[in-house]
This record gives sequence, structure tokens and C-alpha cells, in this order.
Amino acid sequence: MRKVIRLLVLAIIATTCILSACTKDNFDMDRLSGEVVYDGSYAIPLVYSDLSLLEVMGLLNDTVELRENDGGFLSLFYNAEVETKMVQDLLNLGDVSYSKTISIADFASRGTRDNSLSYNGEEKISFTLKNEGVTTDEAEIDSLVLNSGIFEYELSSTFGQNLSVSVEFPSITKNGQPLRDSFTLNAQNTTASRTVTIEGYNIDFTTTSKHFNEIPIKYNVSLSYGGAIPPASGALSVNVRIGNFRYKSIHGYFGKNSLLLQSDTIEVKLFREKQKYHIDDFYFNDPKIKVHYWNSYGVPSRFYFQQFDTYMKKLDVVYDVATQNPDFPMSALNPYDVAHSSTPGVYAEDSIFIDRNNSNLDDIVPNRPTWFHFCAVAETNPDNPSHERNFISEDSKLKARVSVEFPLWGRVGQFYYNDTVDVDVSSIVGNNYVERMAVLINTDNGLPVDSRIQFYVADENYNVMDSLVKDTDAGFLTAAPLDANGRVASRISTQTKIELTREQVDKMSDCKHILIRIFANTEGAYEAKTMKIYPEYGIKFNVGLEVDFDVEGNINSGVNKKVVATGK
Amino acid sequence: MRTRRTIIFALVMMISVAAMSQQANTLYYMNRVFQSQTVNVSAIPDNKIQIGGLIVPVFGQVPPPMYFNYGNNSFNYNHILHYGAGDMKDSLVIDLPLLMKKAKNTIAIRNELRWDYLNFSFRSKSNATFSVSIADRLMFGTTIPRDMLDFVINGNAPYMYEGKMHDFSKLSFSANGFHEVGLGFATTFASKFSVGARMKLLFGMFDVSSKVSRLSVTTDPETFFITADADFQLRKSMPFVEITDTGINKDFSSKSFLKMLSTFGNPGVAVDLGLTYNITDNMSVSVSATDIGFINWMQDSQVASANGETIIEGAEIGLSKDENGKLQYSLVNMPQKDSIGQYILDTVVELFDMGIKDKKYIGWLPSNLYVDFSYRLHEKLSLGLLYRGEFYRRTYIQAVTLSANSNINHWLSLHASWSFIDNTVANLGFGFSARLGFITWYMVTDNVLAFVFPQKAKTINLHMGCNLTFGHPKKKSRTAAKL
Repeated sequence: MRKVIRLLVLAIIATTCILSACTKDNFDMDRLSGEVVYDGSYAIPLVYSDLSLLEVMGLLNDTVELRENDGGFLSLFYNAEVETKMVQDLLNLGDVSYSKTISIADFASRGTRDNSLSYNGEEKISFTLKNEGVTTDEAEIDSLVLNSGIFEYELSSTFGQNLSVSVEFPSITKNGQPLRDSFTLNAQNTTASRTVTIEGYNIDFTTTSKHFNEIPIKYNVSLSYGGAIPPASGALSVNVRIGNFRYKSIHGYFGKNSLLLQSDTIEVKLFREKQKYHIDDFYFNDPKIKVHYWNSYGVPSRFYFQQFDTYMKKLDVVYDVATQNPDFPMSALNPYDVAHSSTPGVYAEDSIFIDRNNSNLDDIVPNRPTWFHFCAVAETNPDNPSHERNFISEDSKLKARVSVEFPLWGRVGQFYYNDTVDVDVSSIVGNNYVERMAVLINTDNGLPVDSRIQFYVADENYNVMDSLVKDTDAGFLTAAPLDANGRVASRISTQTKIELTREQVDKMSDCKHILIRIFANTEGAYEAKTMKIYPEYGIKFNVGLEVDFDVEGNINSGVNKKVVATGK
Repeated sequence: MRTRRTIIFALVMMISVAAMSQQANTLYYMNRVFQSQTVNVSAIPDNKIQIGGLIVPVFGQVPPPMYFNYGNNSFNYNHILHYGAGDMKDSLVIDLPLLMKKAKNTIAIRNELRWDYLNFSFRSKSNATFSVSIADRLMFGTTIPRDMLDFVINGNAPYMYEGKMHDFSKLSFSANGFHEVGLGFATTFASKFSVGARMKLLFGMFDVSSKVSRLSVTTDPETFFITADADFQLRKSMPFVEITDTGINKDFSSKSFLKMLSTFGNPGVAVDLGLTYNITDNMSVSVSATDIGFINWMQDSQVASANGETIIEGAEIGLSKDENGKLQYSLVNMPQKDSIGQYILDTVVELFDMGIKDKKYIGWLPSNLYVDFSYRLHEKLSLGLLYRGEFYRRTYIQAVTLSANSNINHWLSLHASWSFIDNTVANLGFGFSARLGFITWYMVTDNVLAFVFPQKAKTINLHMGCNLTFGHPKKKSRTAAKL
């Protein structure tokens, strides 16, 4: 019995040891083969987008604007803004000088009193208005409020005696007090000079008999000599330079001046050569150029384009827009009188339109104008025989915004969009694990636009290996229906499903690029139907991906036995 | 390569090798061991006095007084990784179809580790038994709906085309640890009955758990949009991690660890109840319910709640301006590579509008019901039929055990069992108790095969320890409770 028990115990121990060894192997991860049988199938939403034209409008910058026009639908605007230079750099008072020499004879002519001689007088200093350095002869300045200005005095005496000099400008006042200054010379200090910066003074140019452009200057000189006899010779020389005027405002009649506005070029990106999109057939119903100006000059002015050219890409010619149509409203031959400010600090504004009625825009736009270049001029007081008084402020400006407007009212017959996306999905699809793949695209179209789409699978040399959309006639987008007012009545949904078989998925392993081709047209474009695009229009879409895996093989070697067995 | 293997092994071990509450069916009949009272509190021990636990010098630690249990009602290790056929006969292969085939509607994975510090019982002449126990218990349990496994492995497309939703509402997760102090009393009455009860005071150390009322995912076949409908809570009570509005503060210092071990801030209470009826001298029935109770998690507790329906449409792409002011069509809120984890977390929180609050909550213990019928064939051999049910978080797990139990002589008892546990009949149990003088060793498992073939085991458990016993009946070994 004991023997049996011993044998039994030994057998249990031996069996346990052997089985334990086998058990241990089950947990030996070095034996993990990577052999997997797997056939999961997943459907996941990838991306979605809800895009409205309003959102696009909010993001575009000043040079390209998509916004609602006065008609309530959208226009594409290409803008440029030009303006006159700073007014003080255009129109200003030039520097003036005043010189006076007083000899002993001049003193003597006024008599002596208590060992002293005195001499006083009043004269005029004339100013002129300059336009960029050139004197405007007919300008009549009435008054000026100074921000700042400089008075430079230089005095020189050869009397060898004590001299007391005072200078006063009675029409240059501040708080009712005239501008005045005084100097003292003696035997030791025979010369004196001084530069004075004045601020906040008013200058009245109407106090002389001329009533404009002049101001009076008064002076008083006292010569004290020590002995009983006045000096026999000598003279006092006085030089005053007045300049560097920066004014707050200036009133008067400023004469005829040409104010050159900056030139600028408006690029029309819509028609620029693009790799990504191309429009073959289009029609804009009412293209126009709008010139909107703001004028804070208190001066009657006439505005015209010295130059207004465009380049028509289709004809490869530069075309003069301003002179080709006699009705063009702002040509040199047909200038436009712009409104002007009647109150300092307040600007006048208005708009002038260049459209199919006063220009050749209907001929220009179909030929794809890629830019408009212009240079504008404003002429002041063009017809002011009565010298109606003008004013300008320190910040007076004539500013104009030139907008080339393409109202989205018309039709697009053949719009092509091409894009290339670099992809490398070889690591995902290269192991033949994917049995089937499907891309689901749902669109919710609120645009009156029909569209088709195609994706091409291309290798590294852009050789097309496959196309993904098999039903080439199927619409990617179906135009949303319009109501009686030509406005989209409701959105319309379209579903596109791109199915890829294992063979197609295999081809994707060599895919380095996906070429995207989109073709679109507005609804009824081929019947010459036009329509307007409104801001509320938009499109929503979502893309989903469905992948069926079918794996029977080693995930380390990447060999799918199922594929090998079926010869796929 | 090595890393990938390690990850695969860890994942397999996590989901295949992990029953949460006391699953000790063979122990139920070991009436010479005081620990059988942990599953049937109405059992009256043979010995007058028993003392056990780590507190007992030397004998209390050899072997360590512990209980370990793991159970998985669906699959074992070999249902995921096993040796292949043909060229692959020496290699382990991953078998996902087999895993799916074995998965039940609810995959229940349970794990418990228990350390006994003190076990003491005293039986009076009138068979009234008083007991005191102090133990630490660590529990881990998760219930995974088959739909979730199906979603991950087979994908969502099959259900989508069938127009079905993936129902995850039975998903649950719980990991916690607590100190347990038990005071028990058992007595006989009316000559044929014995009744017992144990009041247990619980002091929670840590808890991470979920409470899912509603959770489902539906995929729309027309758009592939995924609609998630949820009403769930994620709860935690532990000093290591604090979730704030700005992120997660982690503190894994020894101070936090000591705070966790020494805290009395998470009080709880539980009760064990038992009743035994000796129908005849040879037949008895008993009913026992254990771990009916809860812990009030109050300290460092936070609850993240989500309630609502959300539709996942994918990543949003839209127009924006690039750094040069140029219009671009790109992903909105594209995450930086180094913050993708935080992005996903933020997205989930945002999707379900999850609110995180410092809030106490109640966590129920997994409770057990035992129903036993015993028949004594011979003076030294009795047979037992035991039914066990475990209720936890809307999941009910059942097991049946047939056993043969023999008190061979006054110092040795042997126990053998065959169980249907975790949906498998491959559970042969064995146990013994041996008394040498005043020392009684015991060891018992419901599945001895698990120690030989762990890769094929859905149930692995072991209960062992050593008690100092005094006042043992010298002659015929009778169990007052059973016979």
C-alpha cells in the first residue's frame, strides 16, 4: 500500500512538473507570434464643417471684401484707398524775412533828448501761400491759428553805445496780447541774436490796407550815449526771419492748386492666373467701380483721374478706362466737382459710380481684368472768381476709396477647382489588412450651385493610378431650389459614397498624392439663367469613414494569409 | 517589439486574470476552521477557543493568513492567447474571434485580496459563539458589457447596419480597499437551529469606481455620426489625486500613503447573517448572506457626473486665418502634439458636459448569498450541495458546488469539491485542516487545477492560515451546526 501511495505521489509530482513547464510556455511572450485573426468593421465620423458666406465675409481683409451690397446680396470688392498728402506738406506759408538798418542820421532826424536818441516806426511783412514750395500767387490769406512757429532775431550795432530795441507784431496775438520782444546792446555786446518758438498764436492778416497776406511790425530803438555829443557815425542792423509755421487752421482764399493723390493699383485676384481654380464661362450682371471720397478741405475742388488703366489678361493689353468712353465721369476732360467741408473738423463725403452706362466695363470684365491702376488729382478753386473764402485744418484731407465691385449676380458656367493633397497611407493600407473602405460624404447645400467631384490616386510622379468616384455623373452638390424671388428656398442634401475594394486599397499603398477635381456651375447657367448670391447662403458637410478589416496572418510580417490564399 | 509583447501580455492579464467578494465555496464546509464563519456565520466551530491572524507570533504568519480570489465569468487566458496549429503550434497566437465567442452578455471580472490580522472565537458550553476579526481587504471588480467588447473588437458597423445600439449600461468599475473590524455571535436554539450574525465596521482607505445608469452608443448609417447617451458618475476617494478646474494634482508621497492607511474618514458598516436548520441527524440546510453593507466615502472624495446625449460628428474644420493673415481651411482647435491626451480628456468632459464636485458618496459592497444542503452519508463523510450568488451593481453571478467532506479523524479533515463557477465546470476544489496539538493549519481552494493550468482557469482562489485552537472535542468529531 505504501508503495502504491509513493508511486502515486511521484506520479503527481512528475505530472505537475511537466504540466508546469507547459504552463510556463503559455506566458512566454517571446513565443508571441503576432498571428491574428481579425475582421472588425468600423464606421466613424471624421470631419464636419458648417460654412456660411457670412463667416467668409467676416474673415476677408480690406483688400478683398465679400460683403452685402446695397441690393441686399453679395458683392466681391477689390479696394484701394488713396489720399492727399498731409495738408501742411502741401499748402503752407513760406518763410519770410524782414531787415532794417537804422543809421545815426535816422536817429538824428527824430531829434535828441537827455543824452539819448530814439527811433521808431511801423512797417509790413508780406506772406505768400505755397503749394509744395511753389507760390500760389492769387492766394489771399485772412487768418491763421498757429500750432507753432519760429522767430529768429539778429541785431548788430556799430554805435559803440547803449542801444535798447523793442519789436512788436500787433496782429500776432495770444490771449489778446501782441507778440513783442526786446534787446539791449552796448559797447561790449554789439551784436545779439535770439530764436523764439511761439505756440498758440493767432495771426490776423487783414489789419493792413491790403487786408490779406500782410502783417504789421512795429519797432522802437533808443540810443543812449554817455557824453554830451552823440556819436558821429554808426548803424543798427535788424534781421528777423519768421518761418516753420505749423498751423491748426488757415482761412482765406487759397487760389488754384493741384493736389496730387497717391497712385495705386487694385489687383483683381479673381482673374489672376491660379493653379487651383479656373473659370471658363462667367457673366457678371452689373460690375462697377465705386469712388467714395471724404473731403475735409473747406475748398471747392474738382477731382479727376489723371490715369486709370487696366490689364485685360484675355487680350493681353493694357486698356485706358478713363479716356475710352466720353461719358467717363472723372476723366481729365470730364472732371468731377467734389463736395467740400463747410465747417472745420467736419468732412463731406459722396460716391461716384463708374458702371456699364458711363464706361466700357461691360467689355472689360469678360476679358478678365487682373489689375486697375490709377492716379488721381484734385484741383482747388477751379471756378471761383469771387474768391469765396476757403479754410483748411491741420488734418484736412481728401481721401478716396476706389472699389472695383463684382456683384454676385450673374452666372458661372464652368468653374474648375484643382488641388493636390500629399498623402502617404502606405503604413496603414500596405499590409492588406483592409478588405474594404468607404468614404461617405454628406452635403447639405444651401447654394444654388451644382457640383461634381473626382479624386485621383497618383503615385510619386503624379501618374494617375485610379479614380475614386465611379459614378462620374453623380452630383456631389445639387443646387438648392430657388423661390419666386430668386432666393434659395431650402437646402438640399446629397450623399456621395466612395467605395474602395481591397484591390483599390492596395493601390493606395503606392499613393503619394490625391488629385482633387471639382467642377461646378450655378443652377441653369447653360440656359443663361442669372442669379444672386445672398449672405445667408452656406453649405454644411460631413465626412465619414468605414473600414472593414479582414486579417488572418502575422501582424509582424505584414502578410495577410487570407489575401495570399484567395490570390487577391 | 518587446514593448509591444509586454503591453499585450499586460492587457491579457488584466482582462483575463483578475471574483470580487468572498468566493470560497469549499471553505463553507470546513467547520473545523473558524474562517468558515466568514461565509456562514451560523456555523458553530468545533473548538472552544480559536486564535489566528498575523498578530499571532510565528504560527500566525506561517502560512500567512490570507485569502485571494480571482474570477472571470467569460474567458480565460487561453481564450485570448493560445498555441496555434500547424506552423504556429509552437507559437502563441492572438485569437479575438474565440474571445468574442466566449464573452457573456456581461463579462464580470472580480478580484479580492484579504489579510487577516486577528481572528478570535470563543464558544461557550451552551454553544454560543463570540468572534472578533480584524482584516484588510482589497477589491477590484469590473463588469464589461459584451456590447463594449463587440464595439472594440468587431467595430460599430455591424450593429449600425442592424439598427442596434451598443448598450454599455451595465459597465462598471470598482477598485477599493478598506479595514474591516467584525464582531460576531452565533448560537443554537430550538435544538435544530443555529443562527449567527456579524456586525462589521468598515474604514475605507481608497476607492475609484463608476456608477453607470445609462450608457449607450448608436451609429447613424446615413452619416456615421455616433450618438452617445449617458448618465454616469466617475467617483474617487483617495489622497493621491485631486481633480481641479485647472488639471489634476498628483501626490504620491509617503505622507499621502500613510494618510490613506490611517484614515478613519470613510466609515462604513456591513453585516453577515446565517441560519442553519438540521432537518434530521443527517440532513441540514443553511442560508447565509455576507457583506451586506456599504462605505460612505467622504474623505478626498470627488464625483464627476455626466448626464445627457451628445452627437459626435467628427472634428470640426472651418475657415480661419493663418499667421500671415491668409485664409485657411483647417481643423478648428487643433491640439498640439504634446497635449493630445489633455485634448481628448477635455473633449470628453465637454461632450458630456461633465461637472466635477467635491462630494461624498456611498459605495455598496458586493454581497453574497449562500444556500446549502448537506447530507451525512457516513459518520466520517458528508456530501454538500451549495448555491452561491453574488449581487453587485446590477450584475448577478451564480455558482453551484458539490462537495464531499470528511473529518477523517480528530485531527485531520479533508474536503473535495466540484463546482460550476464562472460558467465552467472545470473547477475541482480541495481543502484540508490539520490539527497538531493546539495548532490547526488549513488550506483550501475551489479550483486546484488553476494552480496547474492557470492559463485555463477562470477561477483562482486560495484561502490559508493557521489558528491556535483550544478545547477541541477529543473523540467523535461532530459539528454542532451541521449534524
